Amino acid sequence: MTTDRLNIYGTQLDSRMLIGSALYPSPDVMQQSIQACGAQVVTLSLSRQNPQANGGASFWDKIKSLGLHLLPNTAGCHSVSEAVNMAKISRELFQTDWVKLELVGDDYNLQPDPIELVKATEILLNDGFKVLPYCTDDLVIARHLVELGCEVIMPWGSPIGTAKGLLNPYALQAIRDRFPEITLIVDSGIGKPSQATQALELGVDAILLNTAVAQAKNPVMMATAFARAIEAGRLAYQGGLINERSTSKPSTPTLDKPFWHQVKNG
Amino acid sequence: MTDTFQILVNATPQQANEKTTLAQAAVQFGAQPPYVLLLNHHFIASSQHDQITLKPNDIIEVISAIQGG
Repeated sequence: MTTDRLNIYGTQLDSRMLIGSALYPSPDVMQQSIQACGAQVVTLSLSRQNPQANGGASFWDKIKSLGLHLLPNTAGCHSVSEAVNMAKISRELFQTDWVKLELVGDDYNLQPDPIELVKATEILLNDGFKVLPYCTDDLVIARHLVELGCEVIMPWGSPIGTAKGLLNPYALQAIRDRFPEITLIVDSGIGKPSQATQALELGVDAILLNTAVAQAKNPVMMATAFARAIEAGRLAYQGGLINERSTSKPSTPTLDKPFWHQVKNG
Repeated sequence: MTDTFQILVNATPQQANEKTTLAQAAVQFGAQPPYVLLLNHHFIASSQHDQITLKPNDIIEVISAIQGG
C-alpha cells in the first residue's frame, strides 16, 4: 500500500487539513477543534503583548501543548517591508522558517497584492524562508511564484471569511494541471465541507481553514466534518472521477431481462 | 545620581535611565515569555537584550503570539 502524504517543503504530513487558531469562542474550544480534525499544521500570528491580558499566555500554552507545526502569517501587512519584517520576527519568535505570506492589496476583500507578493516572496526565499504565499487563482502569478522557488502555493477559493467556496474552479484546475508537482493548498473562502471536497476532487492537495470551523455553532463537530470531507475528496481524486455525459446510460444490464411488463395480452 | 528619562514600551510611557538595559525595560513592563523585542522598530536578538542600554525616547515593542488564520 502506498502512503499518500502532504508535502510541505519536504515535511510529510498525514493530514490534508491546515487550521487557523483565530475566532474560536474560547481557547479550550480552539484546542478541542484542532484536535478533532487531526490537523498537523496550525496558523497563528503576532502582536504587541498586553501584560494586562496575561500576555496571551493561555493561547500560547494551548497551542504549544498541541505539538503541531506552526505556520505564522503576515496578516495585515500592506507592503513588502512590513511583510518581510513580520516574517523575520515570526521566525525568531516561533523558531520556524515557514511563513504564510499575506500581503493585502485591497481592504475591501483582503485580496492579495500579486505584484508586491512576488517581490516579498523573492526576498524571503533568498533569506532561507519556506514561503507559503497566499495568492489569487491567477495562473501567471502562480507561475511567477513557482519560478522563484515556491514549492507550495496557496490560492484563494474566494475572499477570506466569505464562505463562498470555489468561485473559479476552472482557474484552480488550470493551476493544478500546469504545476502538477507543486503542493496546492486552497487557503480561504471555504465555508462548507462539500466545498472542501470539491477542491480535493479537482486535485487540490490540502485546505487551510479557519472561520468555517471557528464560527460554526459547534466548532468541534464542524472540524470533524471538514476532516472527513477532505479525506473523501482526496480519495475521490485518487479513485478517478468519471466524465460527465449529456445523455443517460443505463447502469443495470438489460440483456436477458424477462421484461414481463412488456408481454402483450392475448 | 543618574537622570531618568522617558521611553515607550508598547506605546506606554515608562521611566528608564542610562544604565537601564533593554531586558530590564521589558521585565519592568511585565513582558511574559516567549516574546521578541524591537528597539526603534528594529528587531534585537535575545542575546543582545542584556547588552543594549537605553536612550531618551527609545521605542520598545514587545511582540508575542496571538491567534491567526
